[in-house]
Amino acid sequence: MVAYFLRRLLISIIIFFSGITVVFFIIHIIPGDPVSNYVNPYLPEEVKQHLVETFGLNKPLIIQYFNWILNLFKLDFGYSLVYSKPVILLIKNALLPTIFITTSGLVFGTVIGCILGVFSAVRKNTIFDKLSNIFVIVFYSLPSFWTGVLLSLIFSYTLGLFPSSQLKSLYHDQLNVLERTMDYLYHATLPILSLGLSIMAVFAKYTRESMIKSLSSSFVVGALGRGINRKRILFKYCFKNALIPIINLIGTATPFIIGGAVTVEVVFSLPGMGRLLVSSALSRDYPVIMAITTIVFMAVIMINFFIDIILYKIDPRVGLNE
Amino acid sequence: MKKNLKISLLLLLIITLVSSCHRKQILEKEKKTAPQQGGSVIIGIRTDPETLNPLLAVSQLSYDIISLIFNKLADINEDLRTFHPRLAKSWEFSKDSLSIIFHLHTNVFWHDSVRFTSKDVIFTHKLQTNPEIGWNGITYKTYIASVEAPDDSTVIYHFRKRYNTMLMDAVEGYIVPEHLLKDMTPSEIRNSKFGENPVGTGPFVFKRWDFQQSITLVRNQNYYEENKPYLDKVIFKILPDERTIFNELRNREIDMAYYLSQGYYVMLEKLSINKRSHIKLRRILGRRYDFIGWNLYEPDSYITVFNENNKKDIKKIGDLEPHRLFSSQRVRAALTMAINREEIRKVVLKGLARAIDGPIPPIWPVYNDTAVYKWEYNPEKAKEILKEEGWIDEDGDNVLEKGDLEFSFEIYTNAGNTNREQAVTIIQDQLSRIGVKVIPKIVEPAYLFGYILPTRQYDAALIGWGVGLKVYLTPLFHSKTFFFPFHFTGYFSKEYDYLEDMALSAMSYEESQKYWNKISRKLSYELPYTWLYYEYQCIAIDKRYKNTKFDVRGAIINIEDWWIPVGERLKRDRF
Repeated sequence: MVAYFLRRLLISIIIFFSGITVVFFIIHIIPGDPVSNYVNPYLPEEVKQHLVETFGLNKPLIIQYFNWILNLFKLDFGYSLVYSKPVILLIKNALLPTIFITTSGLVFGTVIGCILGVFSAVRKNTIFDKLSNIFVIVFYSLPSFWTGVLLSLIFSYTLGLFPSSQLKSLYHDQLNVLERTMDYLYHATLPILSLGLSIMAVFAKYTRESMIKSLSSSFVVGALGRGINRKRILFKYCFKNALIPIINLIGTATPFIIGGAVTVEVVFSLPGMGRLLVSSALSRDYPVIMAITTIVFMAVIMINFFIDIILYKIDPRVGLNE
Repeated sequence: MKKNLKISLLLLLIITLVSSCHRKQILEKEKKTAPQQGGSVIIGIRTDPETLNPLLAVSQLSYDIISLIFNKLADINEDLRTFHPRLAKSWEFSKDSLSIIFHLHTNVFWHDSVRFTSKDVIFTHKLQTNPEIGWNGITYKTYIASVEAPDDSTVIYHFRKRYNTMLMDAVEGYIVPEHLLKDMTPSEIRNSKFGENPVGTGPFVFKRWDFQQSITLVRNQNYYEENKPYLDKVIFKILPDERTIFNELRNREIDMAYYLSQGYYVMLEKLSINKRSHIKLRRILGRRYDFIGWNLYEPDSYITVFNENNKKDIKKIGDLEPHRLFSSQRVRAALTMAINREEIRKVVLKGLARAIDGPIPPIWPVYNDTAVYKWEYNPEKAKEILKEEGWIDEDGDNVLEKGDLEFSFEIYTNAGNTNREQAVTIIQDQLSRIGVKVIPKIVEPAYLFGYILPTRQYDAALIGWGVGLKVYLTPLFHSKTFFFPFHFTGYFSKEYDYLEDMALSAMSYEESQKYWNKISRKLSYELPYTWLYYEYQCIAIDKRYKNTKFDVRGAIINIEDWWIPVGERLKRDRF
């Protein structure tokens, strides 16, 4: 177990540093500098040069890289070139909403998706299964941002049941604690649904397939033959067996879930990391792009690392292939 | 007699009653039309401003918000030539006309209750002219020799020479508080919290900035102008998706949007026609124009000369190789005549733009439509000119050739601007009809503005400029900026240099107009750019706001005068 753990940890660290190094050089090697993006034609050339020096963009790329790596160990992501404030502050503001929306979306999608998948598999070829398949296929094919647009059109503009934008009301600070919590939930419902329904579709589809495979396997037929309780077979053996690909799926799907969160944040004007990344990418705000990329990389690698450990715990045979 | 008296008394009573009723109605009407304090306005914007520090702001959006928190010495009037007092209550020129003496208000306080004085003005000027700060308006201060303050309420600006925009140059820029910034170095100012927690003297006080959510300003209770502003709050709500802005306007969740795209403006217009709408729509001449810039020199030869020419000596221009296609004015004219700008204006900009022909934007006071040379749409004439220039389709592939050279070029534009992306496609189609092959290249803005254009590695580019209120073209066409990034067409003319120098140093606006007319004529004939269209700024605002004023200076220039009648207030106005 320890050897497996250390091996996985080492691989994760190597992947992490290789990934952020590639991203660093790619975004810096593309010709063009961020200063030109927001310097107007009427600004004298020496002022522009001064800004380039202030931001350290005149230094050789390799020096910029090592400075960045050194600062990373101090958790110093530098200053935003656009907003002239520490990147860590921007991240601090944007991190919580993203975690809140993605985690809620993931929990909602996974739970509902798994339940739907299990019931569909058990009731294979019934009307419930067929209806559930249609429901799943619809949300499987719709990108989450489009689901978001549809949900806001129906529940916000037509029915007026939920707000169409942002994570809190403009008068949020005048509310008490309970009202504030309700205010957040009220605003977050549609974004969580937009993200959650796409995740739900993926999990429902895979759970169903996985469960059908398990249900038709010889050990289940044998267990049924031995007269073991059907519920016990379903949840103790089948679902546990089907769980491995499902947990694996969480790791594989994490980058896509984060990608979905980016678009949902734009559609619902949420103050998250995704929106910050989009605006930073458009203005070539290198420090912010690097900071967000690093955090997302870290999150994806950590999730995959923990999933590997969990899978090893469930079925130690997964470590044998290493 | 007695009866007559009774009738007279009765008549008198009726008249008194009627007149008092009438007076009451007048008073009530007056009460309705007199500004009333209270209420708020929620303005939908697409992004966060980069900063609220007036020394570091670069975008129009930042300046818009800053203009509510800070004040200048004087504000420009609609004619863009005269000014009305702000922090300076009056001013006069010295006898030799080389200095302007400003008399400041003595009852102005910073939002943290410290008194505003002339020291703040001197301090601001020092920062504005410090290249390490990189203030966007630094060129306004080029001819200011020094600034002095004989006492707390007087400031004198001394100039190196006399010219007609001295007052504009002196008052440009928002005054910042000395007591909060004096101990910081320029880089400390750049990274200080002042940009996200500004303290000004303006009509609204900064209250809170929820990043990516909203910016809240509240009424300045100590504003030096009595009773103003009338609104209690101005909230900028950040909504990156324009569809959301459109829907929130419709649902009355926001009150105003003033950078609407043409498409959404037209949709709102249709809604307003079909039913009684609470939205008032306005369009004003904006601050942007789009054009095609033609590279007048071969890209490779520019790079060679630029790299070898350390001192950036303009005598080296002679070493540049003229562009294989666009060095000929007749070719540029033919291409201009083959582009149907009216079609682009109607299709891409839904008619919400003005066709322009020359370098002077319509908002500038020296704009003169009769001065420019107009190239009417005439593809047949364009074909004739190209034929005379030796461009003939010899192999029948619908593309013109001259010897081994094909009339084919790449046209760059920046990704993310759908209007330009569409315009490039239409231009590609229009030019193909006269045998010119155009290859659109849509690239990332930082790549285009940070590399392609400054190094002149392009043939043609469809981009646009934002226009300031000062008449000034030096960075785009004057030879002293030839090697600067934004002078990317490589236009060079000693006559132009002379005309612009004369226009900028003329002592009166009338005299300068003469030179600007000649410049308009010259550039519109020589065509380093093919000017396409000047965009309208589209504004939507709730009808309940009274006293609103929109003109070339912007959409929120007099927000301190806006008010809402009590009866028209919404529930959220109380928050």
